Amino acid sequence: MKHAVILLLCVLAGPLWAAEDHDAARDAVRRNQVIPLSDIIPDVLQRFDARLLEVEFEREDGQFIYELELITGSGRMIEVMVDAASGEILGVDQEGWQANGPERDD
Amino acid sequence: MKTGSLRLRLFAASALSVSVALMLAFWGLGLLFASHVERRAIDSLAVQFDQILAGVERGETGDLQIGSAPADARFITPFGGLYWQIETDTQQLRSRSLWDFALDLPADHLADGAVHVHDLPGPGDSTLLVMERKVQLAARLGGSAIRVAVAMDASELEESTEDFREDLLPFTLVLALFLVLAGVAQIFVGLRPLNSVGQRVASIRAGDSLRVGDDFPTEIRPLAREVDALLDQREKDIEQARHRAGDLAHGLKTPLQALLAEARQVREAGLPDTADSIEKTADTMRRHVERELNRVRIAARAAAARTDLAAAVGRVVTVVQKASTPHKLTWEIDTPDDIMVAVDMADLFEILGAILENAARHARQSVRVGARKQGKAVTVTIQDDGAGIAQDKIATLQRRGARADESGTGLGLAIARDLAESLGGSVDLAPADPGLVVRITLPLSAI
Repeated sequence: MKHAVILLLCVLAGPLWAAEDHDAARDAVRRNQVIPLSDIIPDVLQRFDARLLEVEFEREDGQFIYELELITGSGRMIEVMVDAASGEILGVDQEGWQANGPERDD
Repeated sequence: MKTGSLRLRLFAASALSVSVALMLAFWGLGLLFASHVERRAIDSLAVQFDQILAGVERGETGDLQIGSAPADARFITPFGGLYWQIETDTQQLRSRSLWDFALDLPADHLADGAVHVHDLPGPGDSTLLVMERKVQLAARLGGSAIRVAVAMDASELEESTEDFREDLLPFTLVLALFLVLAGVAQIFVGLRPLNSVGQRVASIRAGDSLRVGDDFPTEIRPLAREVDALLDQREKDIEQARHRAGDLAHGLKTPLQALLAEARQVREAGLPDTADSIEKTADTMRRHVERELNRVRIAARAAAARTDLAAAVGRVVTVVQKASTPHKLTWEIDTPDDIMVAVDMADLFEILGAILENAARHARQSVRVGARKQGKAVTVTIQDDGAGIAQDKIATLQRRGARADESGTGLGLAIARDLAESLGGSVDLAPADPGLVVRITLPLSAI
């Protein structure tokens, strides 16, 4: 049973590894599995006062995730994990960040 | 014709034309800059295009792929600003920067080699400047026809045009200010001759000059000529009227003499009262006629007259002293040397003679003579220390045209006033303490 789950995951995740990540993202958008990245980015950039550096598209435990690498106006690099299906921010990889509100520079 | 300021009209016209011209220039330069920026952008897209085409390879499965992608990071970063897309019948290859978005290339028929430029919607709300071309691949790549498109975010172009406009605006405003100020200067310099026309006409009215002249710009010369022609015409008319008045007076002289002769015959025929009445009426008429003839003569003489007032006063005083003074009088004479009056010498003697004679006759000890310039005229004051004249009698004597024929005083005064008034001057009496002061106002010579 356990082997069957792993096998299933491998089958589902297969196209992600086979093709390039942006093609995988396009496929997911076309199947209505995820929100287009352009719908997510403006809100995130505004919330963190940041510019976009890089995007990775991943699938963890059946969940599509955008991993956004940003540089904030104050010059800090942060990584923001976004649920690609809902647009919800799952976590921010940056020291001192509290999830209840945007970073303050004062 | 509308009234209002000519300067204001010209200023409004120049300000309007400057504003319109600069607004057009501002708008036009913005357009030129935008098309220039777009041309540069298409040139740089063409370079990227060639690089992408050079990187097309054929994979093991027969599919096309990009072996060496262009180095520009904007092709790699999602929504980085530079994009490419290749379409074949079966495949669609896209730059990573497009991410989950694909260019929706319009289904137009591309002739081989023809370059097309489009504005197409990009990821999110962006607009892309797209350059695409249909390419026939080399035989080793399968020889099929593919569509290759490269694109860039058009907002960069709009931003640089916007920046250019922002930089251009202060220059335009400074230029506008300069042009408007230059316009104002032009208006003032250009309209200055109009002021001098006004000054010339004013000086004619004041008697300082005779004609406007024609030393003016071409546009104003007709006006100046018309004014001069009008003055010529008026002068001729006045001259004619004067001649006619003279002729009339002259023509009445002989009939009046005849009438007086008739009166004498009436008297001899035994009707003395009727004769008196006729003589009196005829005499009044004769005086009017003579006064009018006198006026004509005086006006003709005064036209070019220029007489030294101080010299005239000196000579008249000498004559009066010798002729009519029973006792020694003190003469205090204070007339400046440089006063020239526009009065014929004989007329000036007559006016001064009449007044000075009266003053000498009524003075106890002294007569004072002074003169003072006032604008274009001079006022001569003659004061005696005699008994003076009662206020009500002064009023009677002052009345215009009044003649106190009963006394010699009144007659001399009336002649002097007639003369002075026909020259544009006046003679006024006023009580002084002691005696009487007579003020004679006469025009100064303009020459």
